[in-house]
This record gives sequence, C-alpha cells and structure tokens, in this order.
Amino acid sequence: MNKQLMKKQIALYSLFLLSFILLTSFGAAPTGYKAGDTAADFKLKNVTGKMVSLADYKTAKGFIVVFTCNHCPFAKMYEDRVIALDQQFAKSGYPVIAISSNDVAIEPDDSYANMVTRAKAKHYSFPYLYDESQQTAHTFGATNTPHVYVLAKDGNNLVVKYVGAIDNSAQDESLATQHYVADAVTSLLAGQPVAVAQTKAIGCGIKWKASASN
Amino acid sequence: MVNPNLQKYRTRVFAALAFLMLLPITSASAQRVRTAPVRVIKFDQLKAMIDAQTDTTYIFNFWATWCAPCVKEFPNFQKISKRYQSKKVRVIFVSLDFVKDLKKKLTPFVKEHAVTNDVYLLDEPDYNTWIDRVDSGWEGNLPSTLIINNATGKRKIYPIEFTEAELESALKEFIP
Repeated sequence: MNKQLMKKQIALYSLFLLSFILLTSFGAAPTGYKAGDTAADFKLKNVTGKMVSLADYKTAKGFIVVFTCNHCPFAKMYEDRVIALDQQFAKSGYPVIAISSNDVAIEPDDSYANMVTRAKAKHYSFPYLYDESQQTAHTFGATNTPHVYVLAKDGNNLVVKYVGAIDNSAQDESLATQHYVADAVTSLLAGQPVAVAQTKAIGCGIKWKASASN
Repeated sequence: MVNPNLQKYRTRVFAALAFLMLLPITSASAQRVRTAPVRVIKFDQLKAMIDAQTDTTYIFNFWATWCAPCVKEFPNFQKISKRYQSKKVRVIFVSLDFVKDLKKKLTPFVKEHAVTNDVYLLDEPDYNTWIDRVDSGWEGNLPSTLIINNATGKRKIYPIEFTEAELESALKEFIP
C-alpha cells in the first residue's frame, strides 16, 4: 500500500474515532422516544410479584406509561392525578402502567418493598413495575419523575403519541390550564390527532446507577 | 459586711454590662456572613441575566430545597465560587421551590448555609413555557446547571449532580 494512501486512511480513521468519542461523551442529547416513534415492549416485575408486559393487555387500545417513584416530591404531588387517570381511562382502553426506575442504592425509599407498601396504601388500580436494570427508562429516554409516555396500538406496534408532563401545574392541580395527558388520550379515543405531543416539566432526575449514568 | 441585696444588685449590673459588651461582638459576627435576601423573579428576569453581554462566566444552578441531590451538591458551588472569585466567575442559584415555601424552607436554608451568592426563586409554575428557553437540551430534571460565557459564546447545560472536581473541570472549559 502506498504511503500517501495509508496516511489518508489513518487520518480518516482518527477523525472517525474522534467523532465517535465526541459523540459518545457529549451525546447526552436526548435519544429517547419522541411522538411518532415505535415503542418497545418490556417485561417488568409488578408489586404483586407477577411479571407484566404490555402484550398482556390484549384488549387495550393503548397505554399511559408513567415513570414515577416513591420518594420524589413531584411524583408525590402527581400521585393522585395518576390514580385518577387510570380510573378515567382504563375502562376506555388506556390503562396506566407505572414504572419506578430509580437506583435504590441512591434512593432507598424507592426499594421494591417500599413500592409494594405504597401501592397497597394508595390502592393502586394499575401495575407499579420495578425497572431494576433501568433498561426500560433508558430505552424510553425517561429523565424525570413523573415522565409520561402515551402509547397507542397500531396493529402490533405501539406508537408514541405524547411525551412529557401530566399537566401544567404541579403544585396546585386546580390551577392547571392544560391537561396534556388527559387531552392526548381523549383526542386518541376520538380518533383525533394529539394537539400537544411533547412537553417539558421540572421534576426529580431519575437516579441512574453509577455504571450506567448518562 | 456587704449588704446581700447590694451584692445581688452588683451581680445583676455586672451581668447586664457583660451582656451589653458582648452584644456588638455577636451581631458583628452574625453580620460577617451577610446573606442576601432571596428574590422572587419571573422568567424574563432570569433570561436577561442569562443573556447579559459580559465576559464573566456565569454558573446558573437550578435546584430546590426538596431535591436531595441538589442539597448535596450545593456546597460545591459555594466552594468553587469562592475559589474563582478573582476569575470573573459568578454562581447564581435559581431555586424552583414554591413561593409558599419561601419563608418556611428557602430563606432558612440560605441562612443556614451562609450563602453569599445571589439566590433567586423562579416563580414560573408553567414549566413547559420556559424550560426550552433556558436550553433545549434540558429536560427539566433537577439538579441541572447552565454554564455560560456570552463573550466567547460558549454555553452548556449539565443535567447532573456535580461533585466539586466535576464542577471545577467543567468550569475550566469556560475560562482561559
């Protein structure tokens, strides 16, 4: 091989390597689901001890997947609203699926045992799943608690229709002027497009395990 | 022989005098760590600070007293702020506590931690209207920190809990 070509190849390779390093180290840009993406199913342990997958819900039209947890003050503020969403929409085919993904070494309040206790105390009418490996939160791109993904079934696919907050007033439900999740599901049930498909909100960051952090 | 009443009187006068003498010392030592009052602001006021055309590097730490990792990293910002005082670096704490908790939680926290940096309570509960205007790469998770220098045009959001060393090495990318 001629020297010139080899130099070029080395340069190209270094450039490739450099961009790879740059992309992976600074690539904290959200890579999770956006509206229109197809979501992957998961299989996680419920507080009842049983494993739960979205595929188990044969008659559901879709899901309200809520990344939440026990300890976070924002998750606590929204807890009753999550319960209300399930009561409002499960019977129309959009059940709530709550998932806790926090590293319990960082946040012992979020342990599986504490999840069981909380679900019982508040009579959760929906599964509360423990994402111990944090794989589901990573796949979805969840960053906060609470962080909601509204999914709609399209044949065998689960299409992401909404990502973000529950409403626009965490502290005082009565002051909310936008009910993002309820509006999204209502639109889907009426066969209408979802008007607001993505929002952001303040919340507790998901507590990642050290090895898998960012 | 000393009148016992007089003795009692002397003791009282002495105690009162001692108290009066100590008073200026204690108030002076309390004044030494002068904590600025927490100011409640709206987003436009924060935006004006973020966009200020200056060669100072600003560290905006978004936090809240209810956020445990925020409370944990808080002293690291105070340390870095003191260490880089002469280097045109300013730390600004932007609290997302609720206004109702200002007197109950935020002000006592600021006093207890002897905070000499500016502390603002951002009173904007409709989060979706402004999070992207801080940085589109921020998902709203706390703690998060924006480091910005408008003279060089360099800015970055760090949606993480900083250790002192991590914060210092992040800051070093911004200052010559």
